[in-house]
Amino acid sequence: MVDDEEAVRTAVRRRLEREGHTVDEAENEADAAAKIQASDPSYDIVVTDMVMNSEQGGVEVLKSAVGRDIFTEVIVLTAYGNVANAVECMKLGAFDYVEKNIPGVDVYDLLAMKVEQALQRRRAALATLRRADQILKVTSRSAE
Amino acid sequence: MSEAQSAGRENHVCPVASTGVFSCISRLLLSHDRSLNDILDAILVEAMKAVEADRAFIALADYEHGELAVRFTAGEGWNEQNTALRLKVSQKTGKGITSHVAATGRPYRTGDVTTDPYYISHFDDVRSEVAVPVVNAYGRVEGVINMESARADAFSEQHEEFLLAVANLVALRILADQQEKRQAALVSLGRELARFSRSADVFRKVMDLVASAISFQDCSIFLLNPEENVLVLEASRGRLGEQVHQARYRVGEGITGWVAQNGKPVRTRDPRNDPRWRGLHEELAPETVGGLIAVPIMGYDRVLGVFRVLRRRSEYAWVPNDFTQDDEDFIVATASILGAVLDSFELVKRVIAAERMAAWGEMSARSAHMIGNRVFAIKGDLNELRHLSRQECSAEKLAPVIESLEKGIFRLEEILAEFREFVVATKLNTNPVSLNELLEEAVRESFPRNSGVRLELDLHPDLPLVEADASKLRRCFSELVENSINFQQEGGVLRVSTEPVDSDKDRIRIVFEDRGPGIPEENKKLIFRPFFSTRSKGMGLGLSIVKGIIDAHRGTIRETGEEGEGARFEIILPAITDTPDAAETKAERRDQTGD
Repeated sequence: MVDDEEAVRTAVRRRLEREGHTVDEAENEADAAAKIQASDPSYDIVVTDMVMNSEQGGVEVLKSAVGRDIFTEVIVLTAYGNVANAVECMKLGAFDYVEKNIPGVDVYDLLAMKVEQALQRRRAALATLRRADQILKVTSRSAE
Repeated sequence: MSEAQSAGRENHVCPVASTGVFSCISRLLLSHDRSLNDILDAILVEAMKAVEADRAFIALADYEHGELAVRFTAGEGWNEQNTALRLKVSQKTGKGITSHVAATGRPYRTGDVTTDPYYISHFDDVRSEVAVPVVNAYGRVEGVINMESARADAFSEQHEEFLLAVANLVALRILADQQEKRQAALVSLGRELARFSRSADVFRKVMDLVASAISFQDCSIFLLNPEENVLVLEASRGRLGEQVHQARYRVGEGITGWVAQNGKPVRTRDPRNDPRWRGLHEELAPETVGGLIAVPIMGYDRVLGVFRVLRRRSEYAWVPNDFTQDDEDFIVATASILGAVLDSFELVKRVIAAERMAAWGEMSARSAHMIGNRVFAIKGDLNELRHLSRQECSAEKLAPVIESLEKGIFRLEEILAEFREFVVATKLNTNPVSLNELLEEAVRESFPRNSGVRLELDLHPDLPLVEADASKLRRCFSELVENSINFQQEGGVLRVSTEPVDSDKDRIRIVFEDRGPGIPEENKKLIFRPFFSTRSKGMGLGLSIVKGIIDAHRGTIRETGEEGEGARFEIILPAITDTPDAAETKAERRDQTGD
């Protein structure tokens, strides 16, 4: 969970931990990059704010994440008016974006749901990767 | 012509033919290092010698009273009484030759005063007299040069011609001096007006300067209110002064309104018979108005107002009291400088407004961001609360969530408070205020009793007052003091000083410097931004509000310390300046003693 506001990080972490996830926190794009680099295994999901040290902070985090593991799913949190950036993130491969301040919407439950969907996609992708790997091993062995 | 007279003529080698005298007199007239008074004195003596007169004087016109005043004398017989002579001007007989010459504008000469109809006696020993008028380029009599002799028929036609030539040169020199005075007035206007920041001061200064260069009975400045298309009186010398802000012309109404509508000057000797005249607001009773000039005050793209000057109608035919083209040119030049200054006030206001808008934009964006985050966090607590309410839960589990909610809302209200502070910061309630007093109060209220920080107060003893909102400024100062103390918890120094920025004393510099950690290089640009705070518990104005308040006072604040050596906040505020006039009077007095 990447956000420059401590209260936000705490709230999101508390909600996701309720679902049984393990959550690490980072307070800006630089901090996130360091933690993503050092992660082993790589993170399944990265939830990140868009504007932190720079207006493009979320994009930086996205690049760090897919640079470390192309199957890490990234969900971007945006404030009103940052949709343009969020769309750019989608084009770069983010899983989805969630607006933080939509009146009357419980963003946390929505976020928990998105995290679940993202996990499913990741698992499916990893599964496909494993199958492809196996087929490769089988075909190369039969070639011998 | 008697025999004696013709005899006198023949034997007389006329010295006035000598070029030596003329070259001496013309050199005198050209000299720049002597005052006009000195020059006229010297010329009178030379002229008297040249025509071999026994006594001479120059009387200069006093148009206000319709009189001639004796100003320069030469020869014997002058005492306190007759040097202060004032001559009523008249064409009639028996009123004096000088009076007659002034009234007719033509020279007069007599060889025997005892038989002369115009002569009146001021001295016992006079037999001949010659007087010539000093007439300026506009045909106005500036004065009279008068020569007397104890001999009969002492003055010839050549003497008269010589004196007339001298009189013409003197008229030229007087004109040159007047032009120089006007030029000096315009230069002084241009130079000083840049330092004024209030239009009332500017108007007063302009009218004073015009008064020093042109004689008039009254003048007024009207400014255009563009919304209502009405000219409103802003300043006036004389009767209309009581109607400042009340007397009005619609654009197009009266001569004044016509000038505003057409952007062209009007100069008239007889305003009553001008078809545009309405006689609505006049400084003088209408039948006494002798000359009127009304010129537009031009801004860079529109008429800003009208500048109007009046003269009383002259009772004396020999004193035309209307305005000349020179007068009009001078007033037009003055009005254009005035227009430029008013424009610059307007531009400064717009720049400040633009900066304010930019600051507002930034403040709003930051507020929205911060409020958004706060609300998001509060929503998280609510989500948790809803989750907990669906189960069996103890007060222990609820407590942290409730606490978190309280903190969130508290922080929200802090943000709203800072935003509101920002809105209110521009609304000042001002009075003349002593900065030193304010600083002492601020230090007293925010400097803790037992502080490890040593306070040094270095307040300049002779500071002008500042037009300021005392309570807001005091809070700015308190904020800076508190910041300094907070960053020097282990002890340190805070030095607060005041001084005028330069000898003009139109701005005051206040410095807060300490030996704390100073501002980190990367933060220097950010410290005056809204919501920026490196203090963990930010209670208090914040530097962005401090800057907002200082800006609203038309001041500036900068941080110029070195990281690691301490913070240094420098505030500059404009002082109340009705003192430029005092400075100018000092300069004038200096010039006069040089005379």
